[in-house]
Amino acid sequence: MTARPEELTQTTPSPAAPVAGAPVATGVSVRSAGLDRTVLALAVGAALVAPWILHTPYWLNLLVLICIYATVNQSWNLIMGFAGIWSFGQLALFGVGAYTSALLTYHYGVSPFLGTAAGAVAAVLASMVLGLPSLRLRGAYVVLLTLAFHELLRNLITNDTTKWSGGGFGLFGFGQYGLAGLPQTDRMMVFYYAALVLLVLTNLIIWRILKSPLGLAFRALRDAEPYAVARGIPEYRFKLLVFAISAFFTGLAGAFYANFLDAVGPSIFDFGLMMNLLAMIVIGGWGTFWGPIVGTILLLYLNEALRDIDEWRVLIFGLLMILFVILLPQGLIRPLESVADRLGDRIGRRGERAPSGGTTG
Amino acid sequence: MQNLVQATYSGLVLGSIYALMAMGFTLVYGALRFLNLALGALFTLGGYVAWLVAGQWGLAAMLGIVAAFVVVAFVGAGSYQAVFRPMIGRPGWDITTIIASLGLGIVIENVILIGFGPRNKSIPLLLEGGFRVGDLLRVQYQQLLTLAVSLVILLLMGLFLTRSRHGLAIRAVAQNRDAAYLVGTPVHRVFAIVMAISAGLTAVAGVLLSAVFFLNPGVGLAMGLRGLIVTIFGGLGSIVGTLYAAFVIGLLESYVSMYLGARWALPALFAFLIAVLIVRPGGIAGLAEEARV
Amino acid sequence: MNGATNLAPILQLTGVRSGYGDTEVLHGPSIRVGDGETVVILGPNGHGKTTLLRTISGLLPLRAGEMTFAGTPLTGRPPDAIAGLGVIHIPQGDLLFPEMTVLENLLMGSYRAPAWARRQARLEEVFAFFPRLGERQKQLARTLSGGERRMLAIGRGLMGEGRLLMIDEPSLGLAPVIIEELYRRIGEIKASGRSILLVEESAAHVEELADRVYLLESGHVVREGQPNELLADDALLRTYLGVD
Repeated sequence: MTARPEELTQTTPSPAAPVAGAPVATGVSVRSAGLDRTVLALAVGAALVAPWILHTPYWLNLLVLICIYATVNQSWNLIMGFAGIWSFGQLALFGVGAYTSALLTYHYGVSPFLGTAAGAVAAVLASMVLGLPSLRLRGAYVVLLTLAFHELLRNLITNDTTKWSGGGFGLFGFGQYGLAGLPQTDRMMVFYYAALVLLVLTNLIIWRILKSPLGLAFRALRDAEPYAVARGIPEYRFKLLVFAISAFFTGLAGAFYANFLDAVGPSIFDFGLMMNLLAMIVIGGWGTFWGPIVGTILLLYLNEALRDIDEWRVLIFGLLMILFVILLPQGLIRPLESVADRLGDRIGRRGERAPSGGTTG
Repeated sequence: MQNLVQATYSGLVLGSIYALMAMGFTLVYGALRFLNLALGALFTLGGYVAWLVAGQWGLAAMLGIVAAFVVVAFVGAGSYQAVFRPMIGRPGWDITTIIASLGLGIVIENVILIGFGPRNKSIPLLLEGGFRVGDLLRVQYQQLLTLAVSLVILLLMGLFLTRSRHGLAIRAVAQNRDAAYLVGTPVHRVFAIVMAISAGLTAVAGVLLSAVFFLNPGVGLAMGLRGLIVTIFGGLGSIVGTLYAAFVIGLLESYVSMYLGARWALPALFAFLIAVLIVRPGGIAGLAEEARV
Repeated sequence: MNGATNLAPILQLTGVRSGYGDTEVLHGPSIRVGDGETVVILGPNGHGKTTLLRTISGLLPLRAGEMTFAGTPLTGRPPDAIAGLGVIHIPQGDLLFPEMTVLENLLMGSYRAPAWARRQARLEEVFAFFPRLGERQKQLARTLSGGERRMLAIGRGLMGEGRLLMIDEPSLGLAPVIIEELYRRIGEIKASGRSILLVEESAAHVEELADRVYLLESGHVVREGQPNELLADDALLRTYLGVD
């Protein structure tokens, strides 16, 4: 009855036109496997070397946070950017992971390793509680239902006066996986490499999912939902599945975060933090694979660099978010990629000449 | 009994403010099909404009309400031209507008923070004093004024939408955009008007509520969420549904505050909303498909 | 009657191309409507008649070619500006405001400023024209029958005081009695001196009304002429319109 704005001058959308979902319709870019491998090798190399160059607790702390938030953002991007689920419950699931692990270790003496695993499982369970009713609903309802879940958790913990959950003060002292005795820098190094493993693992699995038939089905659902549904793609079950996968890594990251900080409190549900994460994805390029990672690194760095103009930081991020949505909806990653592609062409040509290039199978 | 009467009364006052706030969401959703999540920040902005006009410059409090409406309405219309209009015609309208409006909310909130600082402010009461009705009820003139202002504005909105040329145009655009174009409705201007009115209504809600509580740059978040709850509960885009929902939510919040304590009000609303969405995703009482904008 | 072709054109289309998505529907027909003239475009369904009207009124973007109305180029103008020039597009009955009353629908027809001031007078005319609409003025548009919707669409068009009325298939899906009634009304509109561009699938009712006729097939104008010569050509009608 009511036309959507995108049909402003066209009441009968062409079947080829994107119908629902994320603004970025390209998905995982199709480029030479050689270039992808080059980029990947460079990225992993840089990630391995970085802590030896930035070898102070201050920078190491930042590097660990980058790994944790990039994991959370990539998981969020999986559901919002690729699967078209407009969930704002990401931070809530992160919090579920953190609190589950913290509570088990703090109250019941459960090993922090076991607690971390339990945090991931708890986040999956919570995602099912959230997903079963909401994933059948229209987008706007999903936004609100997930926001409501987030606020409900935050309020329940903040209002808890029994001290069991720590209430507004939070809980602390979980032993940092038994590393508490190490010198600070060494401890940070261990945490960093562990966080890196978490990040790489998450990304590898999400990459596999996106390249699998499931990932293809999602792109079909996102870009032309009626078509995909008509082709018999069981949308609801797929969405639940991918929601659970995303929640698993998010919960894992949350539990790791609690143990890394050795503390957890309701500030983990801070709305400003959620907006920060969203800005990272949007500015990096949502619905793209590398976008959220690039965005996380960039914004966390900016966050530190702009410390001197503290009160302007958030304003700038908000402004950037608007500008990117309007002017560069595919995020920073597209211009970055076209540069990489040009470089890649050169590397690729050199690779063809050198027999040991190893880019061709 | 006394508590019940008092809570019912407070709930109705609260509901009338929520109705203003939720009408803002409903109008925009009805006409433009997007959730304007910047409205929470516009609520706050309205409060600050009134604080400036009535609290700082010492002008009449009523003038504060008017100023808040006008200033924030301009911000709303401006945000359409600058932010949302360029996005029309792009894929993914629903979600990109949500993200842009969140960004807009962040910007407005932080402009307020930088401009006015984080400390609580209070708007002078529009009316002092009150009276008692026997043992049952304590009534403050401020509350009566709040009820009166909200109801008058809602009534004027109703008349505007059904009687005036621009009001008809808003409903026409919401119901069938192509048909509205065919009769010569300047659709973009109508959208800007809708954004202006919705922002203005939200601002008035901001003034009325901040006059009772207090004002800081962050108050919009919780209020925005309440407004959203009412809007969704009322069936997204249904004006009549929104009105019912506003009073139901206002009463619910008031009863929970009275009997369980104020800090449980918001959790109760969220739990209630989640339950409603699971059982009846279309909003209350099947009003969803009736009486659209 | 034959002099009609010599009238100064109020609407001039030259090589108009338009369509939906990747599909081009209009492959460059050229069509002209003289001032005060009634032009009928005949053609089978799905061959671009409605697309043509939607392109003229600006709902569909023009991809190539030119359109002028009373000497003003229409290209690139938004639909509301085109309506503001006096081009009134009367759709098939699907482009109404479903949750508004008959009265409100009609009032929206007078939305543009000069017509709005005279809306009461227009309203009386429309109610005199279609008494049925007067009886149902408080009813929501979505509750009307097919014929009533068509009357409402035409009534809304009359509220706009346009210089050119473009009417999309007034006879579609209606009972014969109502069709005749409608055409009688359209004849009266014509007598009032307004230009009319009418599209129809069947030639049954238009011979009396039309000053000139175009045959539109597969997005091309295949014939143009006086109604008496074109409609007398049985072979032609059989070929293009499937009339026996």
